Amino acid sequence: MKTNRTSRTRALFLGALVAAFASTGCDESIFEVKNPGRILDDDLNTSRGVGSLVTGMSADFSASYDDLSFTTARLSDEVVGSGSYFSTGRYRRGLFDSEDSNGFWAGVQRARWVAEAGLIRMRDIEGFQFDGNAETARAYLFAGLANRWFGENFCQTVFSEPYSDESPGPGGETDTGDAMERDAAFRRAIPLLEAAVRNGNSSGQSDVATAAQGGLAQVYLGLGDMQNAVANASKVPTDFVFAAAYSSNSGRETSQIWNETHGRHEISAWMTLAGTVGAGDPRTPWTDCSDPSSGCPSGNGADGQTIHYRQEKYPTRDDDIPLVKGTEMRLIEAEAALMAGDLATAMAKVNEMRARHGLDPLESDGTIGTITGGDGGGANMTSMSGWDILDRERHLTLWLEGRRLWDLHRWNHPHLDGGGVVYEATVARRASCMPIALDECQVNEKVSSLCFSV
Amino acid sequence: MSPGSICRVVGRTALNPLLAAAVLIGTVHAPAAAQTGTVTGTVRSATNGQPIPGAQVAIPELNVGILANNVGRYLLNNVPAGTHTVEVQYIGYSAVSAEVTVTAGQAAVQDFDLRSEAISLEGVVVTGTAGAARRREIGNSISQLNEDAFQGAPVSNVADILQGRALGTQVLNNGGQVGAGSTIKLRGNNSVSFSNSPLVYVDGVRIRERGLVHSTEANQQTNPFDDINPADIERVEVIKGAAATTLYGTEAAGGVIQIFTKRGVAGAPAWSLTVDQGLNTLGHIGPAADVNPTGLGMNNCNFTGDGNFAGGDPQFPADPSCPASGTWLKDGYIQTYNLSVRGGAERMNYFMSARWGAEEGVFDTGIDANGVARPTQGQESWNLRGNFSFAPAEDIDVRFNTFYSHRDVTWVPDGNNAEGLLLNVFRGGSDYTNDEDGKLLDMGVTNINDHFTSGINIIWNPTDNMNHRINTGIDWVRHTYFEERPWGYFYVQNGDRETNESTFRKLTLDYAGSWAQNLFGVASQFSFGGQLYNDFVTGTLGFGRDFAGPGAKVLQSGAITQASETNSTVTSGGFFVQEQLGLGDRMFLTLGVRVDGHSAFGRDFGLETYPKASFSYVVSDEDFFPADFGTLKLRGAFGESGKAPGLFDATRTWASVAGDNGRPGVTPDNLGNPDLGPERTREWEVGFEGTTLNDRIAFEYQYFDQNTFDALIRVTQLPSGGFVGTQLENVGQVTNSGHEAFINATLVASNSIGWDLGLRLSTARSRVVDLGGLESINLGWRNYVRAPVECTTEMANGANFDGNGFVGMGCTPGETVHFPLPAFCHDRVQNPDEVAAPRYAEQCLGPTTPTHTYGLSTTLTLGQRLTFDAVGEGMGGHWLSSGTAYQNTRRRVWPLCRSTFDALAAGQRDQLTARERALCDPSVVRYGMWTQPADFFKLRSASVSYRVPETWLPNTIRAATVRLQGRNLMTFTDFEGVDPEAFEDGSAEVLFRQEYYNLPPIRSFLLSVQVDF
Repeated sequence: MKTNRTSRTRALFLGALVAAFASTGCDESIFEVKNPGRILDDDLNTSRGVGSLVTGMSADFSASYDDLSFTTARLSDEVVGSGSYFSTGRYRRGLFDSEDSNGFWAGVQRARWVAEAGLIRMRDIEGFQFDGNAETARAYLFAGLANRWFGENFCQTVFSEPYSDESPGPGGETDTGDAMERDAAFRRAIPLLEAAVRNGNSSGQSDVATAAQGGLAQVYLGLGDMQNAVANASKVPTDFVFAAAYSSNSGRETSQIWNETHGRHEISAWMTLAGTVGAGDPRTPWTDCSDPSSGCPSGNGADGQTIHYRQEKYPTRDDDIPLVKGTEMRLIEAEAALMAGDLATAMAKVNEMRARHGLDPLESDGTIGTITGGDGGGANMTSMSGWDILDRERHLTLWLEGRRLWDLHRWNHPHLDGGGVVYEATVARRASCMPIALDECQVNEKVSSLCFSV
Repeated sequence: MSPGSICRVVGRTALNPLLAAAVLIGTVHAPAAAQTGTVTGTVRSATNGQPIPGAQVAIPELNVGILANNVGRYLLNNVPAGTHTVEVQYIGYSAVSAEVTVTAGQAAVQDFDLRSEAISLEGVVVTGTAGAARRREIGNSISQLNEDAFQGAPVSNVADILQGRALGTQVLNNGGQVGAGSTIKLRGNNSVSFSNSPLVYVDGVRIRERGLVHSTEANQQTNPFDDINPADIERVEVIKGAAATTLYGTEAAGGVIQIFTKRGVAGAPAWSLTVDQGLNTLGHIGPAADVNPTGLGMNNCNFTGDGNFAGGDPQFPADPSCPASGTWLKDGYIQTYNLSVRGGAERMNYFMSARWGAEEGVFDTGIDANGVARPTQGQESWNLRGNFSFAPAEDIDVRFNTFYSHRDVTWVPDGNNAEGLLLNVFRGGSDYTNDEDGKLLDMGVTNINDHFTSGINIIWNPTDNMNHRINTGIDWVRHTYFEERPWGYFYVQNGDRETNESTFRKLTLDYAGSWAQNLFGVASQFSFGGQLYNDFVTGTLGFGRDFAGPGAKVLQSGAITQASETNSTVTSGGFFVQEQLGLGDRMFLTLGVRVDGHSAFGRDFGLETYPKASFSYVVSDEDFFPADFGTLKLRGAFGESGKAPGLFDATRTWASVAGDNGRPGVTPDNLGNPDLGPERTREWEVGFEGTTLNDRIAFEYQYFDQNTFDALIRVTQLPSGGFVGTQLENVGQVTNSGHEAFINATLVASNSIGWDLGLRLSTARSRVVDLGGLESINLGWRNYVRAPVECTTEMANGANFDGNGFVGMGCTPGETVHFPLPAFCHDRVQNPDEVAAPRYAEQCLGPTTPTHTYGLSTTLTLGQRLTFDAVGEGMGGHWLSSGTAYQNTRRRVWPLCRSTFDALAAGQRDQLTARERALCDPSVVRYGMWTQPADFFKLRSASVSYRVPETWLPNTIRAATVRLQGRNLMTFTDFEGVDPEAFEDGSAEVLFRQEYYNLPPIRSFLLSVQVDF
């Protein structure tokens, strides 16, 4: 009996051995990855997916634009760094090099590429009516505004795929991967925004069309083409606003500026132009957290030393960052007037904008002047010349919207010459634009020599 | 029985003790003469007097033997009258023998004390081999830690066992919060993009080797490794490099740790109860040079004087939320109770254990605004284990091992966290809380670990020359993490709550077989087998915020809720064949190959093949070798293993996101690479090991050289091409080499005194050879992976460097300068002695991971009852940033800068040197100036044990031992931060390191009583 039992045990063991390996060793699917949640590239080629593609364009735009606004605010002294971020110590001194640029370069390139490549995909999707479609209009708008964002904030531009000689972009452009002056981004934006206007109008999306019109005014301003800038600006009502969307729906949609000021205490309006003008200006609201009745968790910023003037322009996670505003259009018209020597028209446009905000009109000292700068957060607080007024009004009107660095650059603002707020710049000339990113230089041989560190 | 046959018994019983017991127990009847007696006694450890169940006791001349039972006792029956030599052997101990005179009809009593042996060529190891193998047959190094090596030490988890004891192993204590996991590395770093942690097996079943969910508030995480009850462990085997881990395949380049738990031994139930009582403490916190008793506000939060600061100092004023004790620190109470039993019969035996423990950390968390005591940082855990063996047939051994643990951990917000306690306390008034730091402790951060591991080992020896082994099992971990800011919390006034529940499941199916035969005088052992691992992870993260009012919360208490889910399955597997040829039982050549498939390989990649080869030569067995030297084995090994890419790295994918206020959208996720394969690490090592002076000195040395090629590098895709993420590509190359040596000396070995001294040293120097065209990868906090550069004249002359450790110093212009993996590259002052503003330039300072580890251990036993044991360990060659020093300097609250702060306040900035300003002037201080060499030596543990005389004990108690133990007792370092081992992110699987306001490792004292009955 014992022998029989032992034999059966051995047989059972052998059987189990064979069964175990037969069940696992012969099926290729055993190595299949199972991870729901990812979407394969080909699965996006459906008309039902176009809405998600275009929403993705908006989402990618917003996801990086708040970071840009936060950082250029520090770099341009719109706000003072009051926190403990390593980068704040550099930016507030005017330092910004190619490695600093990595994330911002990636952000704008993704926003641009997702929209531009999405347009190519949408055109080829079977069953999708491309022309005259509201989604098409929005896609063109995001592509155009991404290029505007690119041109305004980066010292040079680089475009690699997807446009080629065989398949040129909407404006006939091709992407070569070479470094180009920033104007190239503005020029690239023009046909995209014009297409947004066309498709917006034909699909009944007037807000998209108006936003694109404003975007055209911005890029023509960037190109110094004031005639076209004014022509497009004039089509945007003063009360019009088109904004990058933010929401408390998810962490990715939450505004970083809110998080850095209300969630954390990394930047403050203390000693800046906005802080000097006062919290009463509806364009630059802030709370003095050092006031015990403020309800702030702490009176100082995260550095423990800088008084926290907490911005209230974006008091919740859900507050959108304006991209195109009618009030800005009036200031573009004012600037064109100043350039044309027409101070009266310029002041009329400035006051039209101020009236929109319920502010009293300003009266100039009768001179057009030049931008002189000063210690009011980089602005001359007392001068009432036309250009100093425009400097202050653009600063305050576009506060924390990612636009100030561009103004400093294009105006060759005196603040760039070693200016600083609270902390002195440690360079003779502050960075006024973001260079080509180190990541680009490492993989794009055509620009490998253009990166630098400071 | 010849020595060779004894060796075979040893090997066989180590592999299959139940089978051996079945053969031996009660079967010693020859010769059946009337003139016989018996030999009986107890086998114990000479180190601590503990019995050694399972020790092999034999009289070779009579070809009889038996295993000591579960209390170490043995009985040899029917031994012919006369004088005989009784030999005793057990894995990990030196063999001993004694002359015993047997009188007919009487029992001769002979006890044996076995001394732990660091190296035994006859010892059997199973990790990294196709089956069980004697150490003399193995060509690579292997560390084997037997219970005796750590039984008396203050060990609270497996990491404590390895620390300072396993050669080539680095165990870094990242922080002092009770429950935090350690960082464990074998031979340093060899991978840029993946974990450098080893794989972990328990009784043949692979368990989750990585930390669980990382708390972004506590900045620590628990490690499932630490769930294992150290009192259950019989031995640990560690193999360190690709040359040894080839048979483990694609994921084993970081080495393998295998834990073997205790087994049953025949005999009546033998119980053991251990009670530990003790305390955790910290003492003064802050840099060693800081003599201020406030300890940066932690030791004294009611401080109102000016301490030793010249001119007075208001930096650490009394905190109104300070606990009644006047300090944020306290002594935490430790209590642990462990009960185990082992026993069995001829064909079935068992080992079972249960443990409950509660350990408090060192934070005094005080009371909340309602006067209610806040939860204490610490953990409470319990474990259950049942190991059962039975033999359904003479040649089959079946083992069933099962384990369950439950652990509750309560954390304190810590580390790089605006709501961290140390960050706010250390910064004095310049913090987030308006210096009412107790508010931070209203946030609740807890996690619960449930860990279940179960496996079946089946060993079948159908013939004397063939065996088969199957290991199959499951490792299941459920980790639940809670984080809650209550309603009214100062920082998020409406409160929020996060719940993260994750389950990690690993399935193991492992078969290995071997067939031994003699081929023309050459011993051949052909082995073959295959493994399959299935890794399933699922997790749900929920978040709710904006509560309506106070009280206990769940996620839906929040007005706004969010959720996300993780769900993935990856399978890997492969098979191997191996041939070992042995000549004269002294020369062995092993050749093998493993072929692997993996879910994460690209669709065009196919299978991966890893070869191995090794030799060992027991030269001391040769006739020409001096007979009185001892043993000496020369060895060498070559092999490859790998690391697999991530789940979807080979595929182009898009991720779902929301935009436009909650509408569905997509964003580019991964570019995809259909040719993606594993990175491969090729290693060779050569060395020797042996014993001399009558086995009183054991020694080991090896040199290893690793070359990780096809290294997976996260290559940034052309950003201007729009797909801005990184894509893993097999383009890099990293090398890593080093020396490992230890010597263990028995300085005194007598009946009254035993004194052992161990020294160990290991080095590991990694360097980056190629990054596939990338120049630099920033891992964060200026920890860089840098591609080689050409030495410039400036570098050679040091013109831009202050000579303070730049990697390329001394280079020749034109030669290639390599950087370690990874390196700190920071801004450092270039005109240190000039009375001027500092000028900065970036310097690469040195590696962030220690390049050398050395250890010193000693055990002194007096009268075989009183034992002193101490383990010290040092690490060095690396640098560490003190974020605490840098950030506190910026806030003028860093004690080492006091004189500079005073000078600045006195308007004497112009009189300071650039170095003084670069270090301590808040307006120009740089992080790099507080990045310093972090060499240290720590007294890891010390203990004294006393084995109570048996005559003092009642009959119901077999033995009792009292131990007084201390852990992390002293630190010696010149590092000027808080602690040279501290790491802000705990045991997170990242390459970078930085100290940033996290609680440093704490000190523990334990009184332990063990009673066996």
